[in-house]
Amino acid sequence: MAAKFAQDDGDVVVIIGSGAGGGTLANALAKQGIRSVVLEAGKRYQMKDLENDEWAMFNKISWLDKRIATGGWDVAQNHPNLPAWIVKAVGGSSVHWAGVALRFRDFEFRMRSENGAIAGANLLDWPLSYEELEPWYVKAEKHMGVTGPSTGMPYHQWHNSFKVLAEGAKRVGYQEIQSGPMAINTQAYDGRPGCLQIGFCMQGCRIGAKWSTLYTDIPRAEASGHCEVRPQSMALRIEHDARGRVNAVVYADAQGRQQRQRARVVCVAGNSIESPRLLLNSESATFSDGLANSSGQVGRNYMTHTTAGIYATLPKPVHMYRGTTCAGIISDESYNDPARGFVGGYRLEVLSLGLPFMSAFLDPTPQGWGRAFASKMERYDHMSGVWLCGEDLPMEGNRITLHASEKDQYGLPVPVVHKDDHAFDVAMREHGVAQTRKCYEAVGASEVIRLPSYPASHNMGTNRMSARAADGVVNKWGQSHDIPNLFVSDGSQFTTSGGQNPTLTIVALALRQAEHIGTLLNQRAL
Amino acid sequence: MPDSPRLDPGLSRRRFMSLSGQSLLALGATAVAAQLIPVTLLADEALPELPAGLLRMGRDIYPHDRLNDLHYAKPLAELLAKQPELIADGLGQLQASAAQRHGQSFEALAVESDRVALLRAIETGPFFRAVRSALMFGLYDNPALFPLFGYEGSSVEKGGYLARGYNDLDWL
Ligand SMILES: Cc1cc2nc3c(=O)[nH]c(=O)nc-3n(C[C@H](O)[C@H](O)[C@H](O)COP(=O)(O)OP(=O)(O)OC[C@H]3O[C@@H](n4cnc5c(N)ncnc54)[C@H](O)[C@@H]3O)c2cc1C
Ligand code: SF4
Repeated sequence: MAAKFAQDDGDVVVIIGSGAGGGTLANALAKQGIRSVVLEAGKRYQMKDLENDEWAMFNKISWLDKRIATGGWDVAQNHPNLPAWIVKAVGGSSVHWAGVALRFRDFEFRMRSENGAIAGANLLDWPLSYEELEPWYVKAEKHMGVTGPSTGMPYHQWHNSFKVLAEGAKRVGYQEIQSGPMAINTQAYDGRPGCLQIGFCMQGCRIGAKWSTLYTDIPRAEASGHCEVRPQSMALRIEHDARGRVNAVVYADAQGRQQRQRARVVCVAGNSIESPRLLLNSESATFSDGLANSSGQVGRNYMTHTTAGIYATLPKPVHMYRGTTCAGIISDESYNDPARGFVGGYRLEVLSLGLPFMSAFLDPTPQGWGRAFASKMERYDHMSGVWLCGEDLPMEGNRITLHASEKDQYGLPVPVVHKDDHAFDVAMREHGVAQTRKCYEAVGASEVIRLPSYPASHNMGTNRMSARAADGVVNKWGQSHDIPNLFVSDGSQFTTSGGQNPTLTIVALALRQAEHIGTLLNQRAL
Repeated sequence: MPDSPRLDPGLSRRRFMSLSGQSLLALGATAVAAQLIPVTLLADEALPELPAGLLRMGRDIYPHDRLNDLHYAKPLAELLAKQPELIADGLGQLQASAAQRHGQSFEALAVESDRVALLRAIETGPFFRAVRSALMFGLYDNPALFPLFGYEGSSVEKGGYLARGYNDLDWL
C-alpha cells in the first residue's frame, strides 16, 4: 500500500519528477527499503486515459508552461514557445517515448580523448567508462524489458515502413539493420503483454507493452509501502541548512498552496530544462548563483541530439502508421569517423507520424502551405520516414537561463532555452539527410522531404558529470560536487549526448545511483 | 475507368479512392468507404454563412481540389465565431490589396498565382496564421477525412495492426 509521509519527516529521500529517471530511482530505492516522496508537477493519468489521438494526447500530457526558445536552431523559429516536447504527468516523458533503447558505444564516453579539444565545443570525457556501466545496462534492459540478448525477447517483426527503409539501406550497402533494441515487449514479459502493433507508441501505449514508469516503477514503488507519489506538486525551490546541506523542498500543491517537505537527500529528475531551472531558482545567500553551481555549469551544455526528420514518397502505398512508431534502426554511421567532416556518430531510426502530426511538422515554417504542401499531404499513405539521432556537441553558450521579468503560473521566472548548432552538428545533419535520401531513392522514392527539427524530445547535459568539480555539476554517481546530499537523476547528468537515444542510459544511471545512495545511507555518509 | 453500372450514377467510382489514388476498399476500410458517400454528398448540405473571400483563401492555403467546400467552411466558420475581429480586419485588408492590385475582389481573381501572391505577402501575419492553423486542424485532424488521405486513425479498439496489415507490404 502506498505510504504517506509527514511533511516534517526529515528522513525521506525527496525525488523531483516521476519520469524515466525519477520513477526508476523511486522503485530502486523502495526495493532497498529506502523511503521516498516523489514530487511530480503533473497530473496522474491511468492507462485507460491513453488515447490513439495525437493532438488529444499532446494537449493532455505535454509540458505547456511557457518556455522561450532562442538561438540559431530552427526550433526557435518554428516553435518559439515550445523548445522541447516533454511530458508533465506522472511517468514523465516515459509515457510519450517511442521505446528505442540503445546503449552508448564505448567511444561515446570519451569523446574528448578520442577527438582532442574541438573549437567552439565544451567537450569533456565522462568520468565513467562503458565497462563500468555495462552491467547496469544489462540490469536496465532486464528491468525495462528490452528486446535482444538481455531478456531473450525477439526483436520486432519488420513493419511496412521499416521494410522500405531497410531494403533501401541494403541497396546502398548498409549492413547494421535491425528492428531494435526496443523497450517494447514482443511477448508477455514482466506482467505486461506483447506489442499489438497498435501504432501510437508516442501517445502512450494503451496496453502497456512499452515500458513506462507510469505503470511499472511508480505503482510498484508505491506497493512496497516505501514510496509516496504526490502528483500536481511542483517543486519551487530546494532549501539548505547552515552547513550547506539540502534539507527541504518547497512546492506548490494542486491548489497552488505552498508546501514544504523536509528531506535527508534530494534527487532532481525534472528533465534537462526543469532540473537546472530548479537549481538556479534555489539560489540563496550561501549559493548566490544557484545550488550546486560553483562551476558555473548549471544550465550549460544543453544538448538535444543532432536531428532531422526525413520523409520519402514511395511509388506504392506504405501505411507507415501501422505498427510501432520507431522499431527500425540503421547503425552503420554510428561510429567516430572524423573523415566524414564531423565527430561522433548517428543512427537512422524509422519514425512514423500520423496524419495530424505530419501536417504540423512537414513544414511548420510560414511558407508551409499551398499546392506543394497539399500535394505532399495527398501522398501521405505512400510515405516512409526517418528520424536522425546523432551526437550533439556540448557548447557552453547553449544553456537554460531564467527570464529577467516573465513569470509562469507558479511565479517562477520562465526558462529561456538557447541553442546554436556547432559546425559539426550541421555537417552531421547534412550527411545524415544525404544518406537517408540515398536509401529511399534506392527503393524508388519520387520525393524526399526534409523536415525542420521537431521540438526537442531528447534533452541532456545541463547538470553534467565531470571528474573535476570545476568542469561540471555532479560526479560519476550524479552526486553534486558541492552538496553531498543533492543528486541529479535524469538526462541532465550526461557529459556528452552520444549518438544514442538517452533513456536506457538514464535508467541504467538511476539504478546505479540508487544502489550508491543505499550504500551511502548505510554508511551514514548522507 | 468506367463507373460501375451498379453504382448510383451520381456516385462515381472515384469517390472510393483516397486522394493518392488508392482504393479505399483495398485499404480494408469498407465501413469507412461507406461513410464517405454521405461525406461527399454533404455537398448538398448548406454551407455555413461565410464570406466568399475567406473560403477562397482557405482553399488556396490547403488546395485539395476533390475536397468539398464544406470541409473548409466548417472550421473557418468556427474560427470566425471565435475571433470575429481578427478575421474581419484581416479579410478586409486582403480585399483591399486585391482591389488595389487587380481591381477585383480576392475571390473573383481567376488566376491562382495572383491569389497566392497576395497571400504570400501576409503569410507571417496573425490573420493568415489563424486561418492556416484552423484549417490544419480542420482538415488533417479530422477523423471524417482521414480515409481520404489513406490514414486509419485510432486502432486500439480494433486490436492494433498485428493481424491487420502492419507488414503486408509486398511490392519491394
Ligand atoms: C515523443 C517522444 C519520443 C521519445 N522517444 C524516445 C526513444 O525512443 N528512446 C529514448 O531513449 N528516449 C526517447 N524519448 C526521450 C525520453 O522520453 C526522455 O529521455 C526521458 O523520459 C527523460 O527522462 P527524465 O527522467 O530525464 O525526464 P522525464 O521523463 O521527462 O520526467 C521528468 C518529470 O519531472 C517532472 N518535473 C519537472 N520539473 C518538476 C518540478 N519542478 N517539480 C515536480 N516535478 C517536475 C515532469 O513533470 C516530468 O514528469 C522520447 C521523448 C518524446 C517526448
Ligand atoms: S505499437 Fe506496440 S508499443 Fe506501440 S503503442 Fe502499440 S502495442 Fe504499444
